[in-house]
Amino acid sequence: MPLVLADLDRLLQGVAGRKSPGAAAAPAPSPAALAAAAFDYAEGLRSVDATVVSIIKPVFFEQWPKDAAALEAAVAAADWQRLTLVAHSLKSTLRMFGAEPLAQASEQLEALAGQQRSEGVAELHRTLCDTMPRLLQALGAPELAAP
Amino acid sequence: MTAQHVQVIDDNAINLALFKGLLARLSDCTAELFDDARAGLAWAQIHKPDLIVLDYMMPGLDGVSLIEQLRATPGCEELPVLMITADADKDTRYRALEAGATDFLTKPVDRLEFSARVRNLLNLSRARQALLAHAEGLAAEVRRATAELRMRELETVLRLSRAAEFRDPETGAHILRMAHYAQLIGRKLGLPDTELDLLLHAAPLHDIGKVGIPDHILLKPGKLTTEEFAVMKQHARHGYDILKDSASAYLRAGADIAHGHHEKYDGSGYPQGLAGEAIPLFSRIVAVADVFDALTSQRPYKPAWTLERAAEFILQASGRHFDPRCVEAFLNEWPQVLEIRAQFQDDDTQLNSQVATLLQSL
Repeated sequence: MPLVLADLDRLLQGVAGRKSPGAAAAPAPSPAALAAAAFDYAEGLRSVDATVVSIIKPVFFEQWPKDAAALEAAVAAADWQRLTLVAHSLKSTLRMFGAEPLAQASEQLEALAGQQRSEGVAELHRTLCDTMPRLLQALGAPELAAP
Repeated sequence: MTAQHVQVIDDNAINLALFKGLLARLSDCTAELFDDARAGLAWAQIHKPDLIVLDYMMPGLDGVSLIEQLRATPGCEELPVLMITADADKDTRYRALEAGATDFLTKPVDRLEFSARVRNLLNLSRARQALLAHAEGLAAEVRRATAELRMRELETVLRLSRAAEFRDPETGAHILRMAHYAQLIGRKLGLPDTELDLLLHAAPLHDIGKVGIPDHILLKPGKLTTEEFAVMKQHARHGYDILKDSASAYLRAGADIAHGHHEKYDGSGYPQGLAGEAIPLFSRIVAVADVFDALTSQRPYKPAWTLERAAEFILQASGRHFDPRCVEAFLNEWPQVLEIRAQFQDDDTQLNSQVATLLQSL
């Protein structure tokens, strides 16, 4: 599964500490973001139960846009309870796809929201949203993966 | 084999789809899906599914609280609940176990493990229901056998009472009337239903001891001599001896009644000369009922007294012959006394019919 060029570019910029011409200074990527970017999601899918994946995949395609919107709204409003629930659900769903770095990012997001701590929430949220297209591509839904 | 019903309660649409898909792969199993915990609980309380697959973390009502409410619902105490939790920590498991979870699975759910656990729990549910049905069948059989035993016991009591009637100039209607008068007094005194039942069925045995009295005394039309009366008085003891030590509560109550129904409240009665509350309550009650009905009944040697005259006699003898509480209870229920008297007339045809009906109803 090839890397998405935009993700790779953002990752390399973060690691090298340089920026694209005209771009604002970006914070260094977190370990979660690095792990998520480097992960092979197609390989992750091959490591889990194909029957389970085939059952939940179509529902996930419908659900992710709703979850993404819910995450966005919860982070913006610092709605910790809502954020906890959405991140909690995503965590177990992503593990069923073998997407461990994304599952871990969800888990960390759930933990921070549970403690009502805002520090790191935006970064984890961005990691989830930025990296999810790669999982969707691996699942065979490029239209959902398109930016 | 009928299909078993599995209820899935999970706020995550993806989990619902997964469990629905996995359950569809099991045979003889239908799924009811709920993404709202409270709605799921309400459905479970009514429909009592064979298995509940339950998420731990849900908005509004978490899995542990749901189980606690479910277990507090009659008929849902033993419903198998498979809790699915993303939290592998022991505290969560302990809380859920304490609340009544039957089994656990940790997310992400392993398909084969899920199917095996569900199958096992459904088998458990089927076995539990079979056991329950068997227990209910046994309980019904015990109830039927007990009712039959009681019926035979009461039939024996009734037939014993009827046997005594053949040796007594008193009529069968007298026995039925005085038994109902006695129950009326007992009810007014606040006796529980079990005691009232005993009283109604044991009171007819009060004169059973007369079977031990020679005919020339028992059936003598004139006044008894002192010696004859001494023999006659032995019927109380005879009745007691016939009925005492029985395994039947009715016959034991009948023994006490037979023994004490000629005792008098002031201690001047027989056979033991007991006084006041030393006389068994059933005997004190039956004494009022028996004398009242004897007075108001016609005999070969006397006409029937009017009801008012008999009532006046009973009242005058209160505190001497009779327990004042029993007299008060009896006279305070006068309309019912009249109803009983009207119901059980000295008509053999009617009486036989009444006894037959009573026997049939037992």
